[in-house]
Amino acid sequence: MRTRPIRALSTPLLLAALTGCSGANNDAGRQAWLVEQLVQDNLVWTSRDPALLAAKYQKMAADPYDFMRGSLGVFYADLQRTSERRETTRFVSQAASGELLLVGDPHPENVGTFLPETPGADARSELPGLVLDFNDLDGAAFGPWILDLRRAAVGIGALTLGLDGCEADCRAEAVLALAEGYSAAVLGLDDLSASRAADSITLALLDDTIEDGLERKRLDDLTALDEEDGQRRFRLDETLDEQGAGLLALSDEEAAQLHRLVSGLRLPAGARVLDGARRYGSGVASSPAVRYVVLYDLGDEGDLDDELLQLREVTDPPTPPSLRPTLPGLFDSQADRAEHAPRLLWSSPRLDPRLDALNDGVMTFKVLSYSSWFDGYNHDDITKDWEKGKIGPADLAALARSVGVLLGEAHLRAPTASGEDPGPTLRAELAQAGLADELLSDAEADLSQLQADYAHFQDALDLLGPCLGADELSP
Amino acid sequence: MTLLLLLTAAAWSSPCEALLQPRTPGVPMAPAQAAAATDTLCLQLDLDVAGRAAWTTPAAGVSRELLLSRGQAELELRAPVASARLNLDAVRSGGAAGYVGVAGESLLPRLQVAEARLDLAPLGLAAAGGLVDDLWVIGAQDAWALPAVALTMGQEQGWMERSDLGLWAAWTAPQRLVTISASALSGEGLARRERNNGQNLMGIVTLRPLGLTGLPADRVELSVMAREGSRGLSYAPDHRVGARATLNHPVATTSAELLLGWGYDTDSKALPAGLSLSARCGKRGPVIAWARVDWTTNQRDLDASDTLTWRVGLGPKLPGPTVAGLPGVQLVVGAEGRYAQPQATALAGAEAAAQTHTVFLQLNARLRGGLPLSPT
Repeated sequence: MRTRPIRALSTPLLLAALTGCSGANNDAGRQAWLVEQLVQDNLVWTSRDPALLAAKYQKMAADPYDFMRGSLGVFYADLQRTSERRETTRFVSQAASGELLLVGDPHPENVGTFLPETPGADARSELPGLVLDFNDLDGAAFGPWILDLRRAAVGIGALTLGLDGCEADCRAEAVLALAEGYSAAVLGLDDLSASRAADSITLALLDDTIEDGLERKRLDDLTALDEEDGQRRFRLDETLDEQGAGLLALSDEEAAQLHRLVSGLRLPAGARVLDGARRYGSGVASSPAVRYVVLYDLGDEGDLDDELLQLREVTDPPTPPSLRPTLPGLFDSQADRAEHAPRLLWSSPRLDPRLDALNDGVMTFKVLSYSSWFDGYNHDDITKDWEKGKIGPADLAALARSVGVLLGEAHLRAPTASGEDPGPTLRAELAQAGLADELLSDAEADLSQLQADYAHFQDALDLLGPCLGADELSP
Repeated sequence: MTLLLLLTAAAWSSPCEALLQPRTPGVPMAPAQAAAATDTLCLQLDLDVAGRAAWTTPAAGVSRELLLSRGQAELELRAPVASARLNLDAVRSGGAAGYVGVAGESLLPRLQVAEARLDLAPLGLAAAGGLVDDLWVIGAQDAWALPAVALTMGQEQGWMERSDLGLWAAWTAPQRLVTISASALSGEGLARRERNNGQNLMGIVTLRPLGLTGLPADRVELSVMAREGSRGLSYAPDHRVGARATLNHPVATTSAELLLGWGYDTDSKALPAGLSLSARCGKRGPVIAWARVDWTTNQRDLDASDTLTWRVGLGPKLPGPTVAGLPGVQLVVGAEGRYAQPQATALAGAEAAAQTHTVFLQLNARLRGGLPLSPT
């Protein structure tokens, strides 16, 4: 039986509390606060599947970028933490500028390729027109526009932590490019579309995606032809545990749930569902969420029409600091948010032709295409290319500019929580100077805090156990 | 409704008349005031419901709101020595901004108080256990008396919880000169299970100097409170001290409350502080009227971190039963203004969040009645 390691942390806190009240050790206090934020953010997983939560924390502890990905709620909570002096923004002076539909977590790994539905085109026989956009909008919520930009800067900053030699100047160049790209998109200063960005990082992503797409790599990796009936089936990994990544056979309960979900899918006429599996080990923030993959075809003989879908549980996003404690928006339900936030923010509502959202009891699942045409930036790949000298600071800045342009374009598309066009307000806000300076200053402070929190988090895991002590709260 | 009317009609003409006199949790009757012991058992039902239409500026999101600003039901079985009480309030499932709720985001009843209470009236002693009232909050609420209009400062800021798992014991001196109470609570509030082994300990002393004179002792109340507490898995400090002065006159009631804290919501560095000044018409006042000003900060040693909130409201006295000296049915208009300095807004410096103003119309019905039961 596990002892209560929490007491190790509690003793200095209790002593501090009893001896000086306000004189608690700052680092211990910060660590305690961080633990509480993470525990609250992940309470749903604590009670449902502590082993998957522990795997998520392990992933976050292994890499500062993944820690950043798993701590959006901490980022928002820190912005609202009033016990320390916070940098003040010179923006968000009008009510409308505080109720934009936010991407939520616009870090580089949430940008990826899409293959929009183009009637008449055959992606297998000609070079398709890939589009870049945000591929994870689970954090979409209404709030001040500058939060997205600030979070994007944290994402860029976290990316640089793995790039040897990319220090303050290199980061500053990227953050300035992010701000410049955002302003350019909002103010219409040039017609550069991020989807046509031509930096080496993006070109490498596009090259890989086209190669993998034409080869149908993901389909081949995840499925194999059944020798008996000649149909593809998922390759299952019976040895998979909570720490692993891969596909596992469905339990009876999961099979029943997937059956209910599949019956609500909007597939093309004649489509047939061929197989389904539970997918583990993907993502960071939502890694304990239930994920399924579905293999279907369009009814033709052979496997040339076989395609993949992913279904992933969506939960409530962290609440951004808003003008008012509650800022309800345009969405009727979780499913409505999961489906329509992307349609409002994307460059085209049909960017992913399979986008859908389904309810199963209290659970909501988003449905997305899962072919090799849908891929995204990967910070490990970027780090390797950096180490090999294939990319440099200029490419990083170009990537940051692309993210900024994408963000600006997304913000202009979606109506505000009041249903208004955000364009006039955004343009009025950006007409005043100082965005780059503010973002630069905030980015350095936020990155410094992220690094400190990452160290606190690693310490806390050692001290409190794999679920930060919260497993004792699970039923 | 029929049940309510029956309950109301039956209440004060029954053997329960003495037993169901209003009482404040944590404030036992003074020995001299103790009701004669009987084997009476009384059921009391108290419903407090309010609907509000509000307009808020600046308009952001839903700025014209229709709200259930109060939805409470309290059921109590009271005998001379023992009583059991349940209090339920209404909460929005899914929280303020979430979508994962029950049957959509339905309003649900939530247990706010589930209390077993023992009264040793001849000694002026009382004790309670279970999910019990926070005695400081309930004292402030009694002084303010308009929880359907606004929560008390400590509750509204999240510095104090309405109730918590735990125990309290209290003693009132003869002539109600002083009441002393002590509580041991889980420290996590009504919405969370216990997170740590450190219980919150709170003591309150209330002086009623007029107890020495022939005037009603409750006219002047001076209370002080101290709480040693912790919150969350990591025992984050959550200490409070408070002082409150209340002048109760049949025409008007005024109150001043000061609260200081060390730690807040698991943030050990937080140093909350607040001062609340309020005045309202009493039971002999010609109308329902109130004015309140709260000055608050979550970090009292930080510049530009203050928030000032004012509230005023007015309504006619409608005919009908009265509860706690106020008309049971109230139709009121109110206004609120909130001014936050740059370090006090959710996003520091966001000018758009620096000021909000709200005007509202509210219909509130609070009805209470009781009837005798036969012990079985």
